[in-house]
Parts: sequence; C-alpha cells; structure tokens
Amino acid sequence: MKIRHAAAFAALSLVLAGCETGQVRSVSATDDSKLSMGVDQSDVNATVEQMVASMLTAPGVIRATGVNPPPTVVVVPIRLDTSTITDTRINTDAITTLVRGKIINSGIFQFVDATRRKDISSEVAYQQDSGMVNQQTAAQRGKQIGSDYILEGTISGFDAMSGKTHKKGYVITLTLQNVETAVILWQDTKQIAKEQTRGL
Amino acid sequence: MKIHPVSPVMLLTCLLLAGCETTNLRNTFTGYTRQGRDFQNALSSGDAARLSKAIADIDRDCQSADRILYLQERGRMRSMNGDAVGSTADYQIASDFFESKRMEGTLTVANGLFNAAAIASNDLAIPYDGHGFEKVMLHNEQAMNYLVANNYDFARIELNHADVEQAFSLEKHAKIVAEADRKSREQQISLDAANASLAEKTSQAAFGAGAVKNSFQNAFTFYLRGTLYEESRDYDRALIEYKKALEIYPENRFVAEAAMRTALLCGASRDVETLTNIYGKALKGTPVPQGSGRVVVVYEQGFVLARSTFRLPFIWNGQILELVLPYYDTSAWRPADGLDVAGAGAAAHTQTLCNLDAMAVRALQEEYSEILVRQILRMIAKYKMQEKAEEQNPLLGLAAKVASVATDRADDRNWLTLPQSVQIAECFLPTGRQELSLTAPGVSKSVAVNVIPGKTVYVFASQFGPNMVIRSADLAPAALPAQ
Repeated sequence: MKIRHAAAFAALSLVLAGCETGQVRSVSATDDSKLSMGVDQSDVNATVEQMVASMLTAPGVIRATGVNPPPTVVVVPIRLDTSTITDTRINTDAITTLVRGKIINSGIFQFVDATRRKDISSEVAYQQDSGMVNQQTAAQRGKQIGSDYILEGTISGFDAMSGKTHKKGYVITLTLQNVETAVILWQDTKQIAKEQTRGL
Repeated sequence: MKIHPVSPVMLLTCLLLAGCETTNLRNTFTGYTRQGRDFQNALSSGDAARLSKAIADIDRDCQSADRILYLQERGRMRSMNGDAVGSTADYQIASDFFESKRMEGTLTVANGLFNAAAIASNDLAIPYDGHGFEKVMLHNEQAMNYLVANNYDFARIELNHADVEQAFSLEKHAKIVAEADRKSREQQISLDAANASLAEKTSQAAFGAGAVKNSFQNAFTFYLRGTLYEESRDYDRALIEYKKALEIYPENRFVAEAAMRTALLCGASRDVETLTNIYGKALKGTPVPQGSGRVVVVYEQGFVLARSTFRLPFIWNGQILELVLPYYDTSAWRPADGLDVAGAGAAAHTQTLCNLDAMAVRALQEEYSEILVRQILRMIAKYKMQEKAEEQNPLLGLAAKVASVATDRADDRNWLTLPQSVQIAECFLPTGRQELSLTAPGVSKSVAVNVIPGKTVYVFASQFGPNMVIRSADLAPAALPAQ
C-alpha cells in the first residue's frame, strides 16, 4: 500500500514539475532549435542571406554594377500577398530592412529609401524655409539622386491540412528592375515551408 | 475495452492536476449558460461600466482550461466596449490556442487526465475546444476589428484564415463521425434509438429557408472577402467569392446583385447568364454611379441560442440508465428582425447572410455521435462505481449516487455573445458626409459617414436588445451645432 502511495506521489510530483516556467536564454539569429509554424527569425535570416547572395552573384547584376559611382537602388517595402497569406504577424518591415542592410553592406549599390521621402522632404523644407538654418549649410532642393533600379518583393503563402499533417508555407519573391527601361535585371524566389504532424 | 469504475480520489486528482491547466470547476459543477447570460445582459444594458466589470471579472477564466471560450467572449465584449486593441489581442490568442490544440496529441498526460475527469464527472471537465462555426466567426469578427481600424490588408488575411478554418472543420468532422462509429461498435452500443430521439429534438426544420447543410461554411466570410476584392478592383476574385457566398445562402439579393455587378465588370458572360436564369431579369448588377461610394451595412442581431439539457433513458445490460444531453430548444424560434437603413435618398432593408442559430444546431448534430458515446461510457462507469460502493457500504453507495447526480450535467458551453444572425444591406450614396439612419424594432440610431467615390464604407451595427453599437472606420465627426 505504501509503495502505491509513493508511486502516486512520484507521479504527481512529475506532473507538477512540468508546470515550472522555463528559463530564458539567448540564442543566435540562425538558431532553429525552436521553430513555430509562422515565419521565424532563423527562417528570415537564412532566406534573406540566400537571396541576397543570389542577387549579388547574378551575371546581369555583376555587369550592371561594375561602374563608378555604383548604380542607385530604391527599396520599396516588401508586400504581403493578402489573397493567400493567413498570418497577420509576418514582419515585412524587418525583412525589408534586413535585405536592404545586406545589399548596402555589399558596397556594389548605393541606396535611397522610399519610406523616408516624406521625412527628408520635410527636413529639407525646414532647412530651406524656416529661417532657422544657416543657408550655407542647408540641404538644397533638387540634389537627390534618381534611382536606377527598384527592388521590390512580395510574400505569398499557403496553408493546408492533410490528414494529420499541417503544412504552411511562405514564398518570398524579390525583383530588381530597371526604372527607366522596366527590364527585370534579377528575380529570385525562395520558399519557407513548415510542416507539423499532430501528436499521438 | 473494459470500463473501470471511477473513484472520488481519481476524480479530484484529474480535475485539479490536468497538466499545468486548471479545470474550470464552476463550469463542471454548475454549467456555463448562466455566466454566458451575464455577458449578454451586460451587453444589452448599454452600460459601459457594467460591461467593463464583466470583462474584468473573467480575467481568471481567461487563464483556465476553458480559456478559448472566455477569450472569445472577452474579445467580443471588448470590441463592443470600444477596446479594439484588446479585442484583437484576445482573438489572436484564442486563434493561437485553436492552432496548437488542433495539432495536440490525444495521448498527452493533460488530455488523459481531462478525459478521465470527464468520465468521472461530465463533458464540462474537458477543456473547451470550440465549435467549427465559432472558429470561423472568430476570424470574421477579427476581420471586422481590422476594418474598423481601417486595416484592409489584415482584414483580408484574417478572412483567408476563416476560409482555411472551414476546410479544417470539414476534415475534422469526418474524422469525429468515424471515431464515434468505431467506439460504439467496440462497446457494442447501438446509437440508433438515441440518435432518432436526438434528431427529433435538434432538427433543422425550425429554420426553414435559413437551414444549413453544415455548421462551418459561412457565407458572410465569402461575401466580406468579395467586397474587399471588389474594393481593390480585383473583380475576378470578387466574383468567385460572391458565388461561393450564394452557394451557401442563395436567398440574399445584395450578394446576388454584387455577383452580377462583378460578373459584368469582368465580362463573365456565362455567370451573367446563370445569375439571370436564377434571379430573373430584375437582377441588374447596377454599377456604383459616378461620384458615389458604396456603403456596406453589416447588422449583427441578437444573441445565438444557448444550449439546454434533456434526459434520455438508455438501456444497458438490462439496466435503465439516464443520459444527460445538450440540445437547442428551437420550439419558439423565429427569424431575426432586419434593420432599415436610410440616408441621402437611398433606403434598404438588411437580409440574412448567416444564421448562427442554425449553424449552432448543426454543430451540435455533427458532434452528437461523439457526445453520445462519451455520455454512455460515463453513465456505465458511474453505475459501476455506485454498484461497487454499495457492495462495500450502503452509505458509501448513497454518497456515490449523490456525487453522480451532482455531476450529471450536459456540456452547455458555446460562445454566447455571438449574434443570432449576420445580415447585410448595401446602398450607393453621394460623396461626402452622409447621415444614415439605422432602425430596428425597439431601437433607432443615426450615424454620419464619410463617403468617398469608388470606395467601400463599412458600417457595423450590433444590436443587443435595446442597445445598438455602431462601429466604422469612416464615421464622420459630428456636425457643428447651428449658430
């Protein structure tokens, strides 16, 4: 009888021990030990790394960038394809920033940021028109560089349950296009696919 | 499979220690409907302080094993109380729990304990997993939150999720039926007699034209998706969505008009012909006039039916056992009233697109085999427990009987702040600030909206008894008083 009680006590202790809150630890940006069915940080890092490498080594891009000064690219925020995505928590701003950062650091393009135009415009207006800024140091209108290329991207997705398996995926497409001629210089598509099987 | 008698120690252990979650003991012993009625009354009162108190009072329940149910209720109450951010967060968390539950194994320690607790007490000890139609409505309600916040992209994404949820529910339903069938054969239990009594009690006949074929296909999801596609001038996709809505709810003329309009806009002559054959030449598919905007009024009326309980005698091994089962009392059911919409020379009366009462009844019908088998197994286990206790001591037997009666309770949980029906009306209004009057039996409200040419303005009117809550991203500021 005592053994039965002891066994029951041990079983309850095990159950209760499972209720303790887990400890927090730092992980690397490419750590994929804890994946969710959403777009995880490690997915984004690996995918962006591959796509930027593909772009920088594309023959068309190499030909177009071997000039001085380097061509200018405007990066527009990556869009969600709202007809296929089922998750509102995909951080497109973070992905856009990551792509832009990696290409800037490659040094073969120079960049203008489409999302900052309003801020820059109001700053130039302040420097020019407020009467508060020394005009010898004020930024001049009409000096911005026109972009040669536009880099844009979309994220589409799929979400399906088949038997015990839930499949969810995200397809990221990036396109580099000549602003003047509309010729597509480079395009690549990468898929982040997740699969989860229902427990027994 | 042998059915073991249950002991009180086992019952208590299971109820208290199902993993890290806490069983909602109040629900297990007193049922849910009474608490759900309190939420409904708080909404009907129109008293913001009372509603805020009802919201605050369920903080603890939102951490319990029934948290999905309470998060849904709180999400709805928060949205009606003007807290769109809190509501969006609640719906998102509830959706995440649905996702993780879907992939959860049935053989986990927690599930084993909850199921054991359910066999020893009642189905209310099993953590709430929602019904198919509620999962779809969760995303519809979230989409409306996003539309009120003027975030059309996220509204579209949420409706995609609602669409996927419908496909998941279809698959799950087929599995549940097969599993209940397997268990009933394994236990050599015939469900025929019980099923016949239940079919009589839970018939769709009461709903007439509003009857539904399954609980999870929701025409409102497709219609709302259609309006968003049309808004972005993606007429092909809009037409597809409107057609899907019409397949589920063909009686709605506003959807038929929208389908005809988009069919004409994208030159789908075969669809134009089909729609004309079904709805006649009166269906014009009138385009939005130049200088006008489209106003979509979504009217959520009343409260969805709450579950009642009935007792059904069942013969097992020569013994008469009494099954305690949930059902929806549709004897006094009547169709929801509509809303009159008038403004700037236009007038419309809302038409039903989604009958949630019928969907709730259908959901229960779909779940019934599973509920019935579990209830029979429970009554047999309880009967054996009483028998064994009586053998040991007549007083113990009496105590076991009292415990059994005290926990005889049908699972009456469902999302009770959902409306009885979702209705829609459309009208085209001239550009600019337009006054709209919204009139339903017992309540009348007036709102001003900013109509933009070529754009769709969404107005959501939710009526709870004498109280009506209006939400829209396009509400115009109140007119200045005359000098």
